[in-house]
Amino acid sequence: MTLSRRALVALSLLAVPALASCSGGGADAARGDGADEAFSATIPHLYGETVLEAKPTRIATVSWVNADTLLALGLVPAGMPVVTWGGNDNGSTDWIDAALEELGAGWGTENAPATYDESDGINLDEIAAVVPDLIVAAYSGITEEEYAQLSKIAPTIGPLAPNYTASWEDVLAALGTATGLSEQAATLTEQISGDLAAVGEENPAVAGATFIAGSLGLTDNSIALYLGDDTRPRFFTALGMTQAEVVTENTADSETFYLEWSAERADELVSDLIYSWAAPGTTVEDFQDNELFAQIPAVADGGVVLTDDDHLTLSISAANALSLPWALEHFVPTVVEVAQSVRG
Amino acid sequence: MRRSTPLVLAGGLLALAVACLLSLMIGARTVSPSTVVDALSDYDSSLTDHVVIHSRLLRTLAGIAVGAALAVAGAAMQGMTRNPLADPGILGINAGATTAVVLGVYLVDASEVAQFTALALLGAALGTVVVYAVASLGREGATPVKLALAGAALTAGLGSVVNALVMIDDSSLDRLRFWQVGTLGARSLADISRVGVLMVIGAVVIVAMAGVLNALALGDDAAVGLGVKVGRARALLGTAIILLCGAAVALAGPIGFLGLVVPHAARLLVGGDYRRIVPLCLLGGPVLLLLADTAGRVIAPPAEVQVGVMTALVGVPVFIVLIRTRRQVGL
Repeated sequence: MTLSRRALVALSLLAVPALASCSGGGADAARGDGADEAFSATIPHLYGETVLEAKPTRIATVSWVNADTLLALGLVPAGMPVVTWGGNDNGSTDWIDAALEELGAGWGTENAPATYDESDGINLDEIAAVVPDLIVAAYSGITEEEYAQLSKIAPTIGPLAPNYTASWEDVLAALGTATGLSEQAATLTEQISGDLAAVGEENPAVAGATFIAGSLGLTDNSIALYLGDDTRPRFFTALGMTQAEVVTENTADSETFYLEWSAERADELVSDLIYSWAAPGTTVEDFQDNELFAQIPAVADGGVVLTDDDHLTLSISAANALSLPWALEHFVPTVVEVAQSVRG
Repeated sequence: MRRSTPLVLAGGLLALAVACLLSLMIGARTVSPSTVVDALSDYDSSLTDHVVIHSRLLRTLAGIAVGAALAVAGAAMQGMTRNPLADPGILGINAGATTAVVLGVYLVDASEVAQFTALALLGAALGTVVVYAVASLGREGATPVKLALAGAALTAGLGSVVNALVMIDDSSLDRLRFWQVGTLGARSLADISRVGVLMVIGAVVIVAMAGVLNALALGDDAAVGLGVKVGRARALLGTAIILLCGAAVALAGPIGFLGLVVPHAARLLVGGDYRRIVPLCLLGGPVLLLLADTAGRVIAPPAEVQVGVMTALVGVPVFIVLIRTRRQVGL
C-alpha cells in the first residue's frame, strides 16, 4: 500500500510536466489563436491541489478579498459576491468600483461582473449560472464539504489557510499563478509591502510603537483581541509596529484568530496603541468614558485608533492588494497622527 | 413536608446576601476582601481594583433586578396560564420583544438601552395581544392550551422575520450580539434605575394579585366561582408580566430558564400558595442569576461566559432534578 502510493506520487511528479506540455500544445491548436503559450498551474490549498491545464477566462469568487485581488491583477471576475457588510450603495466597495471603472467594467455596463448574495451561505446556484472555469475561495472559511460542492461546478482554489487567515500576499501569489500573472503579482506584493513599510520608515513614532488590535464592545463591556495571524495585526506589523507582549503571550496556536478577554483585566493590556473597530458614530471618548475600558493604558493615554465606519474597517480587516492602497490613503494618516500624539 | 414560610424567606434573604457578596468578590480579576470594602466605602476612580468593583456593583444591581423580574413574571405566567412549563418564551412575549428590537435596530439604528426598552415593551405587548386574540377565537375562549399553541406559533413565525432581517443587514447582527446572548455587563446606574421603575411597578402588581393567581390556578370556572373577574385579572397580570419581561429583556437580553426554574423551586419549598411563591421568587431569581453570572466570570479565563449561556447551564440540571425528584411538576 505504502509502496504503491509512493509509486503513484513519483509517477505523478514525472507526469505533470509531460502532461502540461502536451495539453498546452493541444489547447493552442484548438483555439487556433496561438497567443497563449503552454499553460499549466498547480495551486496547493487546505483541501488539496487545484491543477489548471488552461488559462481560466471566467473566474467566480466567493468570500471577501478574492475578487479584489483579481481586480488588482487587472482581471474582471465573471461573478463575485455582493459586499453586504461594510459595502457602499453599489453593494460593493469604493476600491472595487474604482478598479472596475478603470478596467471598463463599471457597474451597469455589460462587462460588469455578475453578483450574488452570500448572506445565506455559498450561493451554489448563482455561481453555477455564471458558468465559471475557475472558482476562487483562497481567502475564505469554506468547509471541505462546500469545497467539494464548488469543485463540481468548476476547479476551485480552496482556502490557503484556515478561517480567513490566508494572507493577502499568499492570495495574490496564488491568483497570480492561477492566471499566469505571477510576475505582476510579485511586483504588486513588493510595491504594496514597500508602501506599507515606508510608513514606519518615515515615521519613527509608528515604527517604535507597540499595538493591540481588537474589538472593544461598548454594549456588553466585551474585549476581543485579534491574534498574530489575523489580518489586522498583520496590517499594523506591516507598518513597522510590534504586537504587544500581552497578546503574543496569549496566542495559543496559529488557527485561532481572536481571543476574548475579560474587561476586568483591562489594565493588563499594555501597549502604545490600541486599534478597535466599532459601530458608526462611536468616538474615542466613548471608550474613555467607559470606566473599565479607561483602565486600558492606551485608552487612558489617547492611543486609540478607531474605525467607526464599516467600509473603512473592511479595508483593513479583509485586507487585500486592492484595499490596502485605499487604506494607505484613507486610514494610515490617522494611525500616524495617533502614534505621533502618543509617542511625541 | 413544608418548611415554615418565615424560615424559608429568611434563608432566601441570607442566600441573596451571599450571592451579592460573591458577585462583588469573584471575577476574572482577583481582588482582596479589604479592597472590596475600600472600594465601597472610599471609592477612588484612579484605582483599577476600585473601578472593577464598581462595575461589579452595577452588574450585581442589574442581576438583582433582572433575576427578580424574570422569576416573578414566570410564577405569574405559570399561575395564569395553568401551564407548568410557562416562561417568557410562551405567550409570544420574548418573540414580540425581540422582533421589535431587531426592527428598531434595522429601521432606526436603535442602540441605547432606553430605546431597547421602549421597543421591547411595545413588542412584548403586541405579541401578547396577538397571541391572546388568536387564542380567544372559538367557543371555549383563551384556554391555557390554546394560549401556549398560539404563543409557540407566533414565536416560530416571528423567529423567521428576525432571521430574515438579520440576514438583510449584517451590521444589525453586530449590534444584536449582546442582546441575543444575555449579559449583565455595561449597564449604567441610570439605565438600571430607569428600567427598574417599570420592574417595581410590575412586581408590586403581581405581589398584590398573588391571591387572584391562587384562584386562577384552580381554573377559570373555579376562579369565577370565587368571585374573580377573570378577564380583568388576566389583563392586569398580563400587563405586569409584559412590564417585567420587557424591562428585563431590554436590560439584559433574553435570559432563559429563570422564569421556569425559580417558581418551581419556590413551590417545592413553600407549597402551592402564590402569596408565598411570589415573594420567594423575588429573592430566588436574583440568587440564581447572580450565581450563574459569577460562575461565568471565572469558568473560562481570560474570557467571560455570558450569563444567558450560564443560566442555561445551571438551569437545565436544576430543572431536571426538579422534575425527577417530584414525580410530577404540579401547580
